[in-house]
Amino acid sequence: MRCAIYVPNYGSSLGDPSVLVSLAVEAEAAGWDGFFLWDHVVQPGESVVADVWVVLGAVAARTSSIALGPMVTSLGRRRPWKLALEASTLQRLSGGRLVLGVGAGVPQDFSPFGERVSRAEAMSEGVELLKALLSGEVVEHHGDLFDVSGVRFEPVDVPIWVGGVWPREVPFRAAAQAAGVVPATFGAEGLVVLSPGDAARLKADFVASGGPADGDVALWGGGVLPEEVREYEAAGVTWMFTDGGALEVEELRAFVAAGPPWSGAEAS
Amino acid sequence: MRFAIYVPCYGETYGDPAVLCSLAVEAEAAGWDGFFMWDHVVAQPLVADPWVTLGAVAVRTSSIVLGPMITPVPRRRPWKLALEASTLQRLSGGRLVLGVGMGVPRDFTSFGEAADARSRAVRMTEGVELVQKLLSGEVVEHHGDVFDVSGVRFAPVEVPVWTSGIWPRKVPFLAASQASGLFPIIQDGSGGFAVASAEQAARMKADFVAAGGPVDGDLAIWGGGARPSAAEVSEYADAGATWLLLDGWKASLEELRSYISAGPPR
Repeated sequence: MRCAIYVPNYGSSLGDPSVLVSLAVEAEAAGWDGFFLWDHVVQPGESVVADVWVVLGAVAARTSSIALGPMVTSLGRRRPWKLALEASTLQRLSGGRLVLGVGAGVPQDFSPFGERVSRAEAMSEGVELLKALLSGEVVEHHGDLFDVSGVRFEPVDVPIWVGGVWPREVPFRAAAQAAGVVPATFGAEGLVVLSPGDAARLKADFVASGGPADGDVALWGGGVLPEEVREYEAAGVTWMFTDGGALEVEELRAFVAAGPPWSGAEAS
Repeated sequence: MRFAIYVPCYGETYGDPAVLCSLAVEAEAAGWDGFFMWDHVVAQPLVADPWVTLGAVAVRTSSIVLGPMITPVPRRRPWKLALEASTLQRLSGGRLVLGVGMGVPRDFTSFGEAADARSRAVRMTEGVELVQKLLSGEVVEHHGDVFDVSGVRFAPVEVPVWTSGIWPRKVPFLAASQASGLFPIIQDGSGGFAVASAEQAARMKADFVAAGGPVDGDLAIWGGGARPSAAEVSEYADAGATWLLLDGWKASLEELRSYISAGPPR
């Protein structure tokens, strides 16, 4: 089991790229395995929003071992070729530490800009195109949404995790293209932590949709990571994400500095 | 006069973000004032994304001015570009200069995007206007021919914008009234670029001001790969140039490293 710090890319503190970079540096020093960022454009009431790619470029330059990436980037509001360059550049810069989370995104990042694409379709076709652009092959892609002719980028290996609301089908639309899955499940009061049993069902859904049997399963673990590490591992979970549940950046720093509750070595 | 190192974003060497980052660090150490990079999509592999690269440069340096020179606005969503610019400006402590232009046709045609000059000009002009609104801190209501934005407010960030394009065409001046500086390009008639004379630089500046650009705006001149003499630098300064961008366009990495370490020609 690996443990990651997972924080928003907006707010008066977390929208500040220097704060995000310092948290990533502190997370690596404290033994966390990953540092992942939400990826939004519009957050009502929050006007300071950080571009995740600029921030992660800086994180890559200031850290040496921690895994990093956006969780999740929405393909329907991006040009997949620009995203492919961002991902390949960050993967080279970080020495292979990028995990690229992709998802359908949320309406608030589309409607203020008059964008009316089908978010689910953009995710399916977008992931396919993204993979083609990262493969090193000459890309001829003539789809419903994207049209690419004769473009070849250098090959680079970028693990893609598909995100979305489970148990809906969206996370699985691109399962066959993915190396992992990062579900979000909502209850009456927001995100809920999946039980080991639900995690096993999620993993089964992912594999049944074409996802790799040895793929990663990354769960949001709430403010305090659950203690049943072995049960989650038996269910196929490989990563747990937490933001400490802290509202203030100083509390979050203390949470990060305390390190993950268990290390991969102890848990396995 | 200020002096910048200006490098491509592609090729086996210059497409490697770690190489670009190390060049910026060396340029700052040697006393250069700026580090600017090209911004392309379809080019000889590798191709580096300038925003990821410059994010890394910003945390590895502390005083050098940096930016994409130039970012083709017509192939970008202005709200994503505004977030990239505001984030890099905060991260770098105010060292970003955002170069904007129309881009080259192959970065559009390869992806089924309109590449004709008129269409790119319209998208550039409106796109720059929208980026400036999004950086202003005001609630943006923009209903233009190309873009449609409602009720979006980002925190204000000051980002100097330099407008670019091929001179003496009108392109460099499309966004003059939105810009704080000008970076004109001259073609040599055989597919390459030419270094402007001091006399041409003075005309560029006059054209910029006539098109609505600020009288005290920056004028950045591309100086090629040769090392200008003190007399040449002085002539450019008299013509109104404030920056000279010098490069390793055709230099090997080792040649560029020694060019950089020799420091700027002051």
